[in-house]
Parts: sequence; structure tokens; C-alpha cells
Amino acid sequence: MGPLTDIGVLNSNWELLIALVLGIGFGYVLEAAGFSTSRKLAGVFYGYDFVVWRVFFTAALTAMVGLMYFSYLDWIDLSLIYVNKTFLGSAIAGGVIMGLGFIIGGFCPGTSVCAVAIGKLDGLIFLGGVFIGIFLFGATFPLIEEFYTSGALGSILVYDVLGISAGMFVFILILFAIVSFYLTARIQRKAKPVRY
Amino acid sequence: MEDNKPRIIKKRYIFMAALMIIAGVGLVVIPDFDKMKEAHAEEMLLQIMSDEKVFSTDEIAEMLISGDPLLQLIDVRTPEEFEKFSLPGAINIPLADLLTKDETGHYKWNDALNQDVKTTVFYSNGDIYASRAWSLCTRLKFKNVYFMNGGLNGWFETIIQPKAPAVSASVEEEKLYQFRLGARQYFLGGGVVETAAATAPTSAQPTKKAGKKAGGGGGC
Repeated sequence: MGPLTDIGVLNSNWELLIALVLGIGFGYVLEAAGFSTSRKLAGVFYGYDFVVWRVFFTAALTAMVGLMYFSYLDWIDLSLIYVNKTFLGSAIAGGVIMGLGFIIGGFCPGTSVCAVAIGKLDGLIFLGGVFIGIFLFGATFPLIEEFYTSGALGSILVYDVLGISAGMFVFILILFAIVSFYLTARIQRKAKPVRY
Repeated sequence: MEDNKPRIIKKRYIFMAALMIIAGVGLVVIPDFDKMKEAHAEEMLLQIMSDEKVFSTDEIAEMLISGDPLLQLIDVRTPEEFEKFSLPGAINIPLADLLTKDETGHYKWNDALNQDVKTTVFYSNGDIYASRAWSLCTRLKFKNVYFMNGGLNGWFETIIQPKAPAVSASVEEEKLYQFRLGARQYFLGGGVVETAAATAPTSAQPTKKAGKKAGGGGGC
């Protein structure tokens, strides 16, 4: 029963090595899926390419379904998995900033690193912006700390808030994903194709 | 009018979507998840029937005297009772608090109770509360959990005020009595206390220790 490092099967020092291996695999898949091209990523917002939407939604659903069945089979103890705390104010502000950066720059932080890895200049500039942002955030943190921690809701989960079971939530999300895949495919069909 | 754009719905999309829907339906219809985490009834009965879940007061006394570093005594009585008297080094986790969760949704005492290094021994005044704490932890599949047979009442009867064996007693019984007398000396700090051992001088130090441990959440 997992998580492996929490139950003492693996020393927690292994976590960094596992993270490195997973990170390399993640980067490889991103690049192989064409995510190091900013036009492909921006396509979600202009309606000519929804691969990003499909890939990330599918990844999330696969992980969800996998974890639920692992938990059911007693292979993993979900209560030991760390759930990030929710701070509503900073989550909304961060989402807006991230979205704007996504539209303007054509990358999200991870894919910009992929783009840099294959030598793209726009990726390099984007990554420079990321580091300027990190620096500014760190330097001005005392000023925005109050806002940063506003709307603290603790480690809440969507299905607890909705009052439905986790399984039901996953099922609804699967249906939503499939419908959205169909609709976005129709939108993409109508859009003018973009070559890149 | 036929255009040369690819079809929206390909066969493999339908296949993948169907697979996901089946997996999702499965999650909805399978029974409650939480029950799977607990030990099965048969497994529990086996453990209840065996003696492996208990430590005698003599065994606990021996471990305390030898300073066994792996022994983790948990006092499941109320904090007031714990203040008055507790065994040396015991941590106070009232039974009502045992399954309290912190703000992250984890059991507050998970670090102390759900581990496989230390030997966790619950005790209360009698057997009832300690054995309940034991069965709760067993249901959660925590390892190395035990309770002290007889509780503090048994402690006083055997360690603090041991009865002298009958003249016809075996050598073993006589040896046990001698051990208990020695243990009594140890726990009472050398003084001879006839009755009212509940105000034993050991209470002050362990309480302080326990307070420190409780504050840190009992990590190891």
C-alpha cells in the first residue's frame, strides 16, 4: 500500500530521483505532442487547435481514475496524499495572470522549458519573463502577503463541497470531458487551419 | 457535399470514450471506499482472540525499568486524570481525541500511532478504553499497537501493591513477586508507600515530558 515513501518502502531521499525521472518523461511527452510550439498552445484560445485541452484533461482523468481504483484495491492510501490548500483570492488572481501569460506568450511554464530545450528563442524569452516574475514576487511578497493568504479554505476537495461521492464526481467529469472533446473538435473543424 | 477534412469521430475515440465511461460507472457502483481501509471482521476476531495484543503490567514495568527506547505508552484517559497520575514517559491522547483530524484532513495523531518502529501500548484505568483504542487503531491497520492488560488498576495491584505468594507457591511465582517488589521500589523512588499510590511522586516528570511530545505531534 502506497504512497511508497510515506509507508517506508522507499527512503524519502528517493523522491528527488523519482521526480527527475518523471520530469524527463513528462518533458519528452510534452515535446513529442508538439507542446513546445507556442502557436499550437495558443490554438486553444483561438479555436484552431485543442490538443492541449484534450491532452491535459485526459491526463487528469487517467490519474483520477487510476488513483480511485488503486485506493479501492488498497494499493494506495488516499488520506496520506498531500492536498494543496486553497486560497481563493490568490487562486483567482493567479489563474487570470497565468491565462493572460498563456494567451500572450503561447506557453505555460512547463512547455516554455520544453521549447528552450529544443532551442526556441521565444521559449527562452518566455522563461526569462518567468524568472523576472519569480524575482518580483519574492521581492514584493511582504506587500502582497495578506492578499496571498486571503480566502483560505484549507485542503478542500470539489466533491466534498458538492456533497457527492468521489466516484460520482469522476464519472461526471468523464462525461463532461467527452462532451467537451466532441464540441471542441467541431469548433476546430470550422476554424481556419493554421500551419506550424 | 464531401470535404477532405478528417472526421470528427474516429473509431478509436469512441473506444477510448467508452472505456473511460465504463471505468467511471465502475467507480459509481462499487461500494463505499472507506470500508476497504479497515481490517476485515475475521481478521479482527483472530487478533482479539490471541494474546498478542496485550502486554502484562509486569512486561511494561520491565520495559520501563530497562528504558526500552521503542516503548511508546499512550494514556487514553482524560487530561485531568493524566495530570494526577501517569506512567513514566506516557503521552496523553484521550480516547475521544484519538481520531481527531487536523485542518489538512489527516489524523492528528497519525505520526505517533501509524508507524512501525515503536511499540505503542495503550492504557487506561481498566481494560475497556484502552482496548477500544486498540481496536480502533487495528481497524485502521496501524501496526505495533497493544494495550496494557488490567490497566492502571492492574498496575497498582501487581506492581505497586503486590500480594505475597502463598507458602506453597512455585519458584516462578516467588521470582515474580521479587521482581514486583523491585519494580515497586523503582517506580516509587525507594520510599515505601502503603496505600494511596495514586499520588506517586513519578507523576510530575512524565507529565512535563508528555506535554512536550504532544506539542510536536509525536513524529519519529
